[in-house]
Amino acid sequence: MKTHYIAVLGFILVSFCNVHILGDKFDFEVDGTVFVRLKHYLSDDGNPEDRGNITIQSIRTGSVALSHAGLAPHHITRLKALAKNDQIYRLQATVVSANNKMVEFFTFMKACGLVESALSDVLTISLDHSGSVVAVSLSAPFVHCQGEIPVDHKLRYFNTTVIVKHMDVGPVPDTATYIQKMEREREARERGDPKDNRSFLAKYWMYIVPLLIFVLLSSAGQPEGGAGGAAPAR
Amino acid sequence: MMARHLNLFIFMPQVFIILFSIFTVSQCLYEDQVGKFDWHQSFIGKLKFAFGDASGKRAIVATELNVVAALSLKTGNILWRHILEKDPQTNILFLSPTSSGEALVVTGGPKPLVRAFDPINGALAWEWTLPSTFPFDRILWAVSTEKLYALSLNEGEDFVVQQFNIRTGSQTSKWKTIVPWVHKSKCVPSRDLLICHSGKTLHTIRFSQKDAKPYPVELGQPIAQIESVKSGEKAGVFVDLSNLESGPSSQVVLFSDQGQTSVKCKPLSSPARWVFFDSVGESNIILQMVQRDEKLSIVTSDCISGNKIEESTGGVKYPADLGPPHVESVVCGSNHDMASCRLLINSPDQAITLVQYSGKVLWSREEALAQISAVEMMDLPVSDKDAAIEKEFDSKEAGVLGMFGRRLVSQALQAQHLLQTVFGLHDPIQPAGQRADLVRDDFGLHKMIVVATKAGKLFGLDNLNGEIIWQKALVNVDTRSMQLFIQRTTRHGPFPAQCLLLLKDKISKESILYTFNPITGEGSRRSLGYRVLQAMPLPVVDEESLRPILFLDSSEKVHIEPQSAISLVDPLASNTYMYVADPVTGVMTGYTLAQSTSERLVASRVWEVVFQPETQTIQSVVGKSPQERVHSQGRVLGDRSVLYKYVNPNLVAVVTQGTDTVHKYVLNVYLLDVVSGAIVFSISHKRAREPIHLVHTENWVVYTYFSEKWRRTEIAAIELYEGKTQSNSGTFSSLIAPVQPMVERQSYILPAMVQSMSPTITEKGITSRHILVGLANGAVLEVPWIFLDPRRPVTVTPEMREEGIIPYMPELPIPTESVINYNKTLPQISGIHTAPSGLESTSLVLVYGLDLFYTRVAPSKTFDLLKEDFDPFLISMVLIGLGLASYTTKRLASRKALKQAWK
Repeated sequence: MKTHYIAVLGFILVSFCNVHILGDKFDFEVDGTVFVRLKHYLSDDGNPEDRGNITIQSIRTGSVALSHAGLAPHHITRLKALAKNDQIYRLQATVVSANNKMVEFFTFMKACGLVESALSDVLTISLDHSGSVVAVSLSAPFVHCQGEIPVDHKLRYFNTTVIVKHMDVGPVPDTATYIQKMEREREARERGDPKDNRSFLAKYWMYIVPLLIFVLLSSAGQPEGGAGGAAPAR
Repeated sequence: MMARHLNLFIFMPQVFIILFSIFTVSQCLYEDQVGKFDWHQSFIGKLKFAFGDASGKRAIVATELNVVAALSLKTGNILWRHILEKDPQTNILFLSPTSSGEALVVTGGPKPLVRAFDPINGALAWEWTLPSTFPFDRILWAVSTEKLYALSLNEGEDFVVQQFNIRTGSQTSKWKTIVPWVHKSKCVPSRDLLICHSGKTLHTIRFSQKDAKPYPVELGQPIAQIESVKSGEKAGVFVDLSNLESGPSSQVVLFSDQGQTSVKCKPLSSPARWVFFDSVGESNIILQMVQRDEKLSIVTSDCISGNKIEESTGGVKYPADLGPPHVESVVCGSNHDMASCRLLINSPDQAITLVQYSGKVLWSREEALAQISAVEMMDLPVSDKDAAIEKEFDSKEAGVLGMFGRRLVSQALQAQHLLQTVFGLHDPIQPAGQRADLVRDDFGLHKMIVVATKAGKLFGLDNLNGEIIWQKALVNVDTRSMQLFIQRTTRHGPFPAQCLLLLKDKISKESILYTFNPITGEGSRRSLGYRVLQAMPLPVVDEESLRPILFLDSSEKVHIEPQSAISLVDPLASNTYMYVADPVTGVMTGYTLAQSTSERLVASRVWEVVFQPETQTIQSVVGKSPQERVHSQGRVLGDRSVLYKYVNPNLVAVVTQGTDTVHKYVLNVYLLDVVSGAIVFSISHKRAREPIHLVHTENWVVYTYFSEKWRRTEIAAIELYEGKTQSNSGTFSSLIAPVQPMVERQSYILPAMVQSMSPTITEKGITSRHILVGLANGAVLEVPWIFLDPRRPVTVTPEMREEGIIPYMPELPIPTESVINYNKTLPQISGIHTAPSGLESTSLVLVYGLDLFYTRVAPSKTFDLLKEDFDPFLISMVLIGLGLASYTTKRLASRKALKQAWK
């Protein structure tokens, strides 16, 4: 049934564009290919329909080959019904890794988001430290579900952006830079601050002299006050 | 000297800034404040072995938590306490007094040791190692006259005796005895005899002697279990007999030194616990604990005749369903008077009680508190006076006149109350069944700490002094996973507060709910009939102000508690998502309730993330605290622009430990949006392994791990920002156009081992947040967030300095002023619970582990409290004085002006 539609309509789109890699490049020991088979649910109950395949040709570079089946008219109607009822559009992704191990992932997005953006979506494939897939997740790029459903011929082909997301490399306490900085500062201090060999008095005379004057002045007033204070006692 | 100081401050501004920040941020405690806001309680854990020392003043105990301690028999306080190795395999295998009075302790594990402690001061008298190849699970231990015997039993074949010198550890001899009836579970040593049972027969053999002959004793009834007699003059066993016709009974059998002759006491209906030897009458006296209703009474009877000698008049209060108590030791005075004997009782709820022979409880220790698994701090209910005021504003349907009348009445009540207080006629009228002092205070600092322990016992503790207000033991429960929810706080008028504890049944493994009032501890237990995978409180309350809780069971069905609240879910269902993580398969699954109807809740699977077990295993999943509030949406930068925080309430951090052929250990942290199932950010550390502790709040995640490469503990911080613009300021949606956050990251060296980590929390989230780190050396360190800030730069620009960022330093300092438990060392910290108080500045902290420590912290200092030395009397006197002075001078000035005008 499904293959029949693909054959009759013949809408197989292969694209090598719209591929992004995010994150600091994580260095995988071995490069590998990952094959992802996509099936989507166009109603709440019922079986999934084929949507297309993704081949990650190299997990290091993240280069991706994408092939999508177009949507048949009655699929479009069902998708529009989902969007109208504010339901969700679910996707099943079967990942076949290099050693032929199959792992199933589920993801979803608001159906209105998919329909209103004329079937443009972002599919993020997250990899772990060993290069195996951890999550396949679908998201709407910019739509805010306002109820404006585009015309049917815009809903025939998916405009999918595939993002292969590597893990970031964890930070390590940066001791080297810090030590270098300390070294630089020490050198700068040694260069900029020649040893001051002058005596204590020579260095701080400008503080000591006013202090002395102040002390002298205040003590000069004292004897008179002392004498004046002492006089009545006699 | 002075010049050098100047240089330091001029050329090392960062030193200055750091010192400055330490002094401004940390909370030092003055000596007279010790114990003012905090309390500390020490515990030892569940009792395993005990004996009373020769003086009759103390009991030496060894516990499941690898603690050896001496308890004062007078007060129950800990006289000394040694915490042995905390290795998971290490456990105390044996405790016995030696002939010279020391406490001999044998510990197993990778490094088996024999140690002896002085009973008076706990000093280590001697220590020697055992060969680690010993089959510890098959060994029975015994001490006899300066010798330690290790009896390794080979099931059904023979036993090998190894004799060690108790002080030096040298093996003096070793021999093998072939007897077919030995089984580890069926044999006990008593004095010099090894006593085993098989079928209806008891076998005895003297193990301390080579080529000893075994003797059988026929009992005539099948034996279920035997227990060694540790007291009296002779070796012997307590036998539990199982008879299908007459039901279970029990008997005491005593043996002579060689084991060849035996004395069979009269069979008893309830098991015997202890044997006394009456030197006057040359007879053996048997002690039993008989349970009648909710009381335990102590009964003594003669061995041979079975005549009852005495029964205690008083009874010890003891719940009927708790299971039999265990008499660990009986300590009698020096004169052989039975009335002076005291019984050290260990009950299944991990309480240690010392009971006098007459049945009077001398003291009781709640050792269940040494293993806490869930904590909540609850507000106390308001006093009657405040309740009356609240009632006044409660009913809105009353008319203007009605409201006026009510106000008059309540004000008259307040006036009466005031007069009573002033004239000392104060008559505290309290709600029935509640203590007078358990009412809410003005600043919300007085709370009830509700604690659920691994022993299945619940406690209500007063947070001001740690006193146990109520306790409740739940029996037949599996406490490995426990969750405590607050369904209703104390703020909801006539309804009492309600908490809900979710745990599992021990046998059926189905979930149990215990619904209780956290202030009084009264509650009811109910079996759910299904196994709960995930529980989630809803963000709404029903008409009785009760917060409904959703349960997802193992067959993916959704239930709600209380069931009447199902109508409340209907409008929320399309936006309600749940998630479940399975650490075994590594699958995390998200569900939506969108397909629910108003009669039935349906969870349908919407996303699935797989952490494949071949490459990594889930260690922990940490969400944000539902209590927390984020006050500030952004961070003001040096150039006066705002960096908006990425505050996603649906974000959880998943920590996995991966294996890798090259790097051996890999630590992965994933930030997962549990509504959309998208991995927002993931980070991987090579050659990093557990212990991993993670804190996840606001827009940041902080975690510690052990770096295998550098062999040190490191602490990493991740901070998420939306950028200079805010995508949706009103509401946050994980589904519609999700934003990819900017991520700042940094890591630091923490020169200590971490055992637990928790952020401080305050009511409105205005106060800056600190992280409390429980260290292996027993300190709880308060680390300000600015020290962990991932934006700390190596070279500081003036803008950054203006923003108040400290320059990067790879190693975090551990200043002693930041240790909130000052000199009170807390061993084996297992968790830190923080709760907001009514004061925005103050966060309440309970550190638990082997000990309990409660204190309060003020991360931004107590900006909303007056200083303690603030003197309102002095201030008002000065004000009044100044007012009077200005008034008089004004009068004088006007008189002077008048006089001058007349001139």
